[in-house]
Parts: sequence; structure tokens; C-alpha cells
Amino acid sequence: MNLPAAYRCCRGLWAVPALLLVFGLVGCGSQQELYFPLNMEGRDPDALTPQQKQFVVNTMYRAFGSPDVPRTVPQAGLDINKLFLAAGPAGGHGNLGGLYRLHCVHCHGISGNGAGPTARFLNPYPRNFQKGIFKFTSTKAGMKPSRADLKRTLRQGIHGTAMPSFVLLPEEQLDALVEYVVYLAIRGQFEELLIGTLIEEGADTLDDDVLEELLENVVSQWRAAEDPSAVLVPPPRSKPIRSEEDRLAAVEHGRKLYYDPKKGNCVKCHGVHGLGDGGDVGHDDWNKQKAEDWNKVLAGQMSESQFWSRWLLPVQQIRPRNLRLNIYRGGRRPVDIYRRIAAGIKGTPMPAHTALSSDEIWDLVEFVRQLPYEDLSQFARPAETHGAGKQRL
Amino acid sequence: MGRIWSLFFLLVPILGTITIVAAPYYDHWLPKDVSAEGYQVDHLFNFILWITGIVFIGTEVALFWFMWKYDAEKNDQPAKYTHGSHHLEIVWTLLPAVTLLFMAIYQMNAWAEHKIKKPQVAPLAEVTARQFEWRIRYPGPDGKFDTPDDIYDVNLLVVPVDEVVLINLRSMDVLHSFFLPNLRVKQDALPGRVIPVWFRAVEQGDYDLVCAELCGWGHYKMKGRLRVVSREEYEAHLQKLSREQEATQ
Repeated sequence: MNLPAAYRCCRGLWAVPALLLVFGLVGCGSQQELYFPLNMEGRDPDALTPQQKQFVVNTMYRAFGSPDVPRTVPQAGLDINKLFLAAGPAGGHGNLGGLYRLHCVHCHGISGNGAGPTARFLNPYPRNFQKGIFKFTSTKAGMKPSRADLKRTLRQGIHGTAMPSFVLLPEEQLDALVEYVVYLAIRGQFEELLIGTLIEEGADTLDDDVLEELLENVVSQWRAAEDPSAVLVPPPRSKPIRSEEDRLAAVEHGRKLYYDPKKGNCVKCHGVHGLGDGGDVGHDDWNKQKAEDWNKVLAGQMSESQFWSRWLLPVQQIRPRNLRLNIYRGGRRPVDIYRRIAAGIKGTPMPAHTALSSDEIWDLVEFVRQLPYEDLSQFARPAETHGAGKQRL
Repeated sequence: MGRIWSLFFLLVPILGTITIVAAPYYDHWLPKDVSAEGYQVDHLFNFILWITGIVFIGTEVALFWFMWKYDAEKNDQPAKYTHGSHHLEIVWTLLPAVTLLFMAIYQMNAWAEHKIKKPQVAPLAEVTARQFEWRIRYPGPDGKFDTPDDIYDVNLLVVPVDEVVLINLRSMDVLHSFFLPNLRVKQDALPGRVIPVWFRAVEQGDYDLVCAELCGWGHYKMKGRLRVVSREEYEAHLQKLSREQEATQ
């Protein structure tokens, strides 16, 4: 080829505007509006008829909108301005919105189902908000968390898990994220109820007053959690700790309760040495039904493909906390540990301990707080537990 | 086109120099140094920038000159080949070697000050990096770690001004890097090791604490804050944390 020199050196340059054009067109292509996926987790995909599915999708959209444009009904008690700050694409709404997708979505997923792209690699899995169960709350047993509880979790993170602290975010952003989590939880619970009712009644649609009743069912729980009476306020010790002797006496009493099968019985799960090695405690509420399905797969009663059409993530077993690590997921304040014992950890096999008086719980708290500093090799086992230890071995 | 290309290449050193000279006026230069020892790092940075800057401009100008002089359209002579110049090769081998050797010796004091001469003070705090946050622990009134009076916090490290601060740096999972841009401190955190880091802040205020080692998908969000306050405020902060930590209501 005998091309002019000027052309020879420049011909490659034509690629530059061409590439820019291509990238420009691709980059500026119209963004598809995002919708919340229908939550069929734990059910067969054809558990609902197409008409029922359509009704659920329409109803959910009518009541809650989409991840880009959230909606709410007055009954839900949600602040729409806060929701807008958290919803939408990261950097959207004039670079003010999109907080949820900026900070949370990788783990918790767009619909809050706890199955974002990174979820699979984490243990424990990120919280599935859709069930509306949250582990660490200041509220009484069986109750929803208050917004203050969720905010505390955002601020402190959950040490020992993949949930980091967001303490440096401005107050209004934290409030917006908390509101959005509550929104996703109410939305998820309502969807679950709606699908359950449709299947139960075998109906294609439900009347508006039935829908309102279902929603009220969910919202009333969240409303109750905001009431000051919902907070579990530990009564002060009847005899305050004034000296090191008092404290050690409390620790020793707590130790007894730890092993007492009629009182604390903590040893059953947390183990003889408090290492969280008491044995198999099964599954939490997010994995229970999944584990049953998986057992069916193992027994040959369900095919693996059927299992995966129902579930997004593999079964995860829950382990009792190792009390010697000095890591407290729900907070290390005595009041936090008190609430964990008194009200249990919601959604997990850790029960609310109703057999214990408040003084006894306080003694257990002292014992638990002492455990990380006790030498494992000098651990004094009360004589009466030796039998239990032998049995285990 | 011809010589236009050589002018085009001449733009590289010109624009590069203009950018660097103008950057400080547009606040795109090093962040404000608020440490007692940071000037050593800045000095080394500037010193090396001068050397590399001069070499860069020289090389670029030489490149321009050759392109200009030997442009194909202006020269009809065929290319000549040479076996090179022994003297020239000695010069351009020795000169960089001596410069590098000089830099290696010249920076030794600064390195020792920042990484070797660990100050004889008790550690003020332990910073544990984990995906994706900074867990802070102060030893509490007894000055010892792993005792019940330890004080815990996250993502906020408060230190007193005008005091040598020693930090025990740890990592819980993967490699991280503890980076305080305003104090010219950067140290990798290694799982399984406790690495001492020290500095002396001379100005009160809030400064960035960031992770400077790609540590996973959430690396970008691994931000903390360094707060430099007076001794009294520091003590008050610890007392407040300790009180909150002991809350029974």
C-alpha cells in the first residue's frame, strides 16, 4: 500500500471518536426502572398462580413503590422524605439519595432479603430484613426493634460479623437508612402475609379492607416497638456492687447460675468452658425451614434443583457465642448483656430467660464479663457438672 | 502533520510542569501537615520530585528534539547505525546509580525516626483493622491491655495534641494499611502481628484515617477519623466512653 505519510500516521486515530461514540451510546442508554423482585423464598415457584403473582406484584407496587421511587401509605407510619434519601441509585436525587445502594445493598440485597452479591461469602449471612426479625434490640422478648436500636447497630456495627460501623455518617443519613430498613422490613412482612393469605384462601385477589387488615397486623408490631413501654429497662440491683469482694461474689453466683439446669443452663449451648462448644443448637429462624428442606434433599425426598428453586443461599448453622473472645455482637455494655439474657436474641435459639430474677441476671452479666479475663487452664468447674462433662465426652 | 507530532509530544513536559506548579494553588497538593515529624517526609518527597522532575523534563525535551530534527519529511538521508558511545554509557549508568545511592543514604534518618526509633512511651491505643472498619481500644486507667477496664470504640481515634502517641496496630483478617495523610503516617497492618506506629500531632482538629491497602470489596468505605484534642478533652472523652460502656440502664 502506498498511502500518503500524513494519512498513514493518522489512520489509527479514527478509532478514538468511534470508540467514544460507542461508549457514549452504551453509557447513556436509558436506565431501566428497577422493581422489587417477588419474594418467593421458601416456596415453590409455582405455589402461586400467574394471576395471584400479578396481584401480589401490583399490590406491593401500589403500597410500597419501587426501589427507585418508594411509596408508603399513611397507615405504615413511615417518613417518605427519609425514604427518598435512602432509596434510588447511589448518587441519585442530586447526589443526596441512594444511601442504601451506596452502603448496604452489596450484602443486604435490593429488597433487603439478605442475599446481596457478597452475602454468600459471609458467616453469619447478612440480615434478611424481610422477615422483620432483628437480633439485637432493647425491646422486650418477641418484640420488634425500635428505630433507636437499629440506629445503634448502624453506629456500632456488629463486632464479630461483617457488619461494619457507620458511625461517621451524618445523623440525618443514619435516620434515613434506619427508616429504609424499617420500610423494607414492613414491606417484606406484608408481602409474606399477603402470599400466605392468597395461598390459604385460594383466591386470585383480596379486597382492600383485607389488605389493610394485613398491613395493620404488621405495622402494629412496629408501632408497639416505638412505645416507651416496649423497652426492657433492667431494674437496678437490689444490693449494688460496692467493692471487689461484692463483684467476685456476684461472679461466683453467676457461675453457679451458668451451670444450673433449672436457672441459667447456659452450659447447655455455651459449653463447660464458655467457649460456645456446648453442642449442636440447630438453626436460627432464617435457616430453620431451609435446613428441613436440605434434610429432605439428603434423604432423597427433594431434588437439589427443587431446593435451589426455593432458596437463595445454602443452609448456615448457628453457633453459640464463645464467651471468652471479649467480642459482644449486641454491645458490651452491662445493659446490653442483660437484655440478651432477659429477652433472648430474637430469631435465634438463645431464649428469653424468664426463670431468672433481675438480680440473678445481673450476676450472670458479671460472670460473662469476667470470662474473657479468666485463665482457661485454671477454670474452676463446679463439682456437680463433672458428670455432665463426662457424658459429653 | 510531520513536525506537529513533535510539538504535540513537547506538550507533555509543558503541561506536566504547569500541572505540578499550579496544583498547590488549587488545593490539589499534599494535605496539610499537622505532625511534628512529617516535614521529613515532605522534604524527601520534594527532594525526589525535584530530581525526577529535572530528569523528566530533560528526557522529554531530548525526545522532542530528536523527533523535530530527524522528522521523516524533512530528512531524505537514510538512517545511520552506531555501535554506541562507551563514555556516554558509563555516564548514564553511574549518574543514576550515584543518585540512587545518595537517596538511599540520605533518607535513612527519616526512616529511622518513623519506623525504627520506637519512642519509650506506653501505647495510647490499640487499633485493629478489620473489613471494613477500625476497632479502637484504649488501655484504660491501669494502662494495660486485656484488662476489664479497657475502653472500646470504633472508627474514632482520639489523641492528645503535642504528645508522642504510640499505637499498637493489628489486623483481624487481611492486610490493611493505617494511613493518616495529615500526619504523614502510613503503615501496613498484618494479621498476626502487632506493629507499633507513632506520631506527634501539633494541631487540634479532625483528620482522616483511611485504609491505604486494597483489602476487599468494601475498602473504599473503610474510613475512620483521627481527632486531635487537648489533654483535658482527651481524658474527658475516655471517661465519657468508659461511663457509656458501663451503662446499666
